[in-house]
Amino acid sequence: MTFEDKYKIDKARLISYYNRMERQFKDQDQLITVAKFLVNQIGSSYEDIYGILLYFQDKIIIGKSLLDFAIEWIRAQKIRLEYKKYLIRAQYPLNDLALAIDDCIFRFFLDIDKHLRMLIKEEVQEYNFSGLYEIFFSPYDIKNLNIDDILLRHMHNVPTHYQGTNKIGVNIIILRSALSNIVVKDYEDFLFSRKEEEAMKTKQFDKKFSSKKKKIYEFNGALLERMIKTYCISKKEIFPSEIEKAISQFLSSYLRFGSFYKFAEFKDVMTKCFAEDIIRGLTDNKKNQIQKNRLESAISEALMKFNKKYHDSELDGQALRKDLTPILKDIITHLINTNFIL
Amino acid sequence: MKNIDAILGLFFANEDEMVYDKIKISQDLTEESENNLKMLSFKYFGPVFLTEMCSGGDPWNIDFIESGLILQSQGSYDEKRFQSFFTINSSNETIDGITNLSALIASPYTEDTKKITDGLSEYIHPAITQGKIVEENYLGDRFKYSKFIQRELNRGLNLIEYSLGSSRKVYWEEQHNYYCVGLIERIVSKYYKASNLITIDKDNSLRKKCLEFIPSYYVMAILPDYYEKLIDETLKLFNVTTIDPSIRLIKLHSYEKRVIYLEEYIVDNNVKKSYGVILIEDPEEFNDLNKISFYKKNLRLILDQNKDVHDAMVKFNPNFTVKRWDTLTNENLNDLEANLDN
Repeated sequence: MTFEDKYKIDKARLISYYNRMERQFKDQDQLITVAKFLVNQIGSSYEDIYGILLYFQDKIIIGKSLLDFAIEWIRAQKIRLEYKKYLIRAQYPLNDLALAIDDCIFRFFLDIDKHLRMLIKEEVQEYNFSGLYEIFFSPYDIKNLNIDDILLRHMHNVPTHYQGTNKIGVNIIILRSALSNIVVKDYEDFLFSRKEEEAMKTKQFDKKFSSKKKKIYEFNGALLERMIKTYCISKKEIFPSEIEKAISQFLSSYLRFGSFYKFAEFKDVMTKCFAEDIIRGLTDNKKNQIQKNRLESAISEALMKFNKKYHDSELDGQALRKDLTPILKDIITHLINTNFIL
Repeated sequence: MKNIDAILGLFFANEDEMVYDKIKISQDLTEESENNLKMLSFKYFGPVFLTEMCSGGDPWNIDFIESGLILQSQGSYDEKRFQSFFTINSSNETIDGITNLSALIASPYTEDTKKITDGLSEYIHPAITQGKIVEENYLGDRFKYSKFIQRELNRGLNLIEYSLGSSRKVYWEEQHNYYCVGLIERIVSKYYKASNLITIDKDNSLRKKCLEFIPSYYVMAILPDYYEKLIDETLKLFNVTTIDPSIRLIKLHSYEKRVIYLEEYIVDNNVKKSYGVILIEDPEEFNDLNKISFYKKNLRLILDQNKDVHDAMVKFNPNFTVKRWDTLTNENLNDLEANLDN
C-alpha cells in the first residue's frame, strides 16, 4: 500500500475547490489564494498560514507547487487524527514518554517523513524539516503558528551535516526533535482525561453504592402510597391484585432475590416504613384519624406469628417476600374495609 | 499492553566492532548465568562478523534466524512457553564502516517478525547512528559514547517489547525461485550426532559458480548447528530447560544476492533428524529453479515418509553427488573449506 493510499484524502475534491477559489479571485497572488484555501481547510490564523507559505514557497522542490504543500498539510492533519485515535488507547508501561515518542514516530511519522522529503528541496537545512513537522502535526487550533517563533525553536536543535557534498540523513533525530513535545503533550492530555474519567466513574460507583446502601436500610412503597391516595380521592374500588402488586413492590425495594436476611434485623424498619407509606397516601382528613404509633402496633401485631416463627432464621429475600405479602396484604385490605379507622 | 514473559536482547556492534548489549532480565539468575549472559552478544555476532569478511570479497549480512521450538515430553506446564524464537540483524554501512544491531527475541506468541524487523532497521538502528553524529557535534569531548548507546539500546528494547504480542500477519510478497546449492543432514540423539553437507562435486565447475552467490560452503555448513547450539544455550541461561530449539530459517544477503537456509525436522524415538536446503534466490545463471513450497514439501517427504534422501537430492539439484561432507569437527571442516571454497 502506498503512502497516499494509506492516508487517503479526497485530493480531487480539494483541487476542484481550490480551482473554484482561484477563478473567484482571478487577479490574486497564488500565495494569498492558497493561504485562504488552507484557512478554510485547517482553520488556523490567516497571518500565520500566509507567513508559513511565504517562508516555504522557495523551498518547495521544482515540479511541486504551493498547492501540493497545502494538500500535504491537510493530509498531515488527517494523519494526526489517526495518530490521536491510536494514542488515546495506548498504554505505555510506567507511562514511559520516550517509548510513546518512539512508538508514535515509528508507527505514524516515519512514513510521512519519506513522503515530505520529496516535497522540499534536499539542500534545505534540516531544522526546516523539524519546524515543518511541528507545523504540520500541531493541533489545528494551536494559538501560535508564527513561522519565526517556530524556526527559532528548531534552528539550533539539529545541525545539518555534510559528508563531502552529500547531506547525512538525520531524519529520525529530526522527527524526535519536531514531534517529541507534541506527542508528550497529547499523551499527557489523554492521561489527564483518562484520570478524570476514572475519577468520574469512581464517583458514580460510590454514588450507586451509597444509594444501594440507602435501600438496604429503607423500604420504599411508592406504589402503595399512590394506590392509597387514589383510593382516598376517587373512592374507586381497589382489586386484591393491585394491593398485592403494591405490597410486592414495597417488599422488593428491600428484599432481594439471592440475598439472605434475618427477620429480626428488618422487622422494625419495615413496620416503620409500611406505616409511613400508608399515612403518606392518606388525605389530610384521614391523616388526622390515624396515629402512626397505633398503626405501627397494629402492623407489629399482625406480624407477631411470623416473628415468632422466623425471628432468627436467615431466609432468602424472595422467600421472605412470598411469606410476608399475604400478611401485609391483609393489613391493607382491613384498612380499606374500615376506611382507615383502626 | 503488555506484560509479556519474553527473552529480549539488543546487541550493537559499532564501526570498530566494539560490542554493546542490553538484555532484559526479569528473573534472578545465578552468577554463572549472568557471566555467560555477558558473552551472549559476542556469540550472536560471531557469524555476523565472519560473513562480513567473507573470502569472496563481498560482505554478507545475516538478516534473520528463526528457530522452531520442540517441547520435551516431560515439560511442566508451569514453565515458560515460547511460540517463537528469532534473531533479527540489521547491518548499516556508513562511511566509517559497518554497524550491526541484532535483536534476540523469544516470545510466547507467534510474533509479526516483519514489523519488528522494520522497527529495528528503519527506526532503532538509524536512531543510534544518527544520534551519535548529532550528539557528538553538540557535545564534543563531553559526548559519552557508551552512555549514549546504553540509552538508545534501552529505548530500542522498550519499543520492541511494546510491539510484542501482536500475532504474525501474512504479507503479500512476490514469489521467488530458488536454486539449491546444498543439502544439510543433521541427526542428533543422546548418543550420536552427525552433520553432513551434500553438494555439487568439488570438480564440477558449477560448484565454483555457486560460490559467487553464497558466503562460502564452510559458512553455510556451520551456521545451522552453530545457531541451534547457541539458542539452546540461551534458553538454558534463562532457565528454560524443557524446550529444544531446531533451526527453521536463516536469511542472508550481500547487496542484491540473497540466500536462505530452510530446514525441517522430525523427532522419532528421541532421535532428532533434520534436513535443510541452502537456496539462492532468483539467480538468472542457473536452471532447475523451484519455489520454496517445493523444497519444503520434499524435505517433509524425506522426514515423514522416509523417502530416499538420494531421490530428493536429485530433485533438488541433479548435480549433487553422494559424497557427504562432515561438518562436525574442525579437521573435517578445514577439509571441506579447502576443497569447496576455492
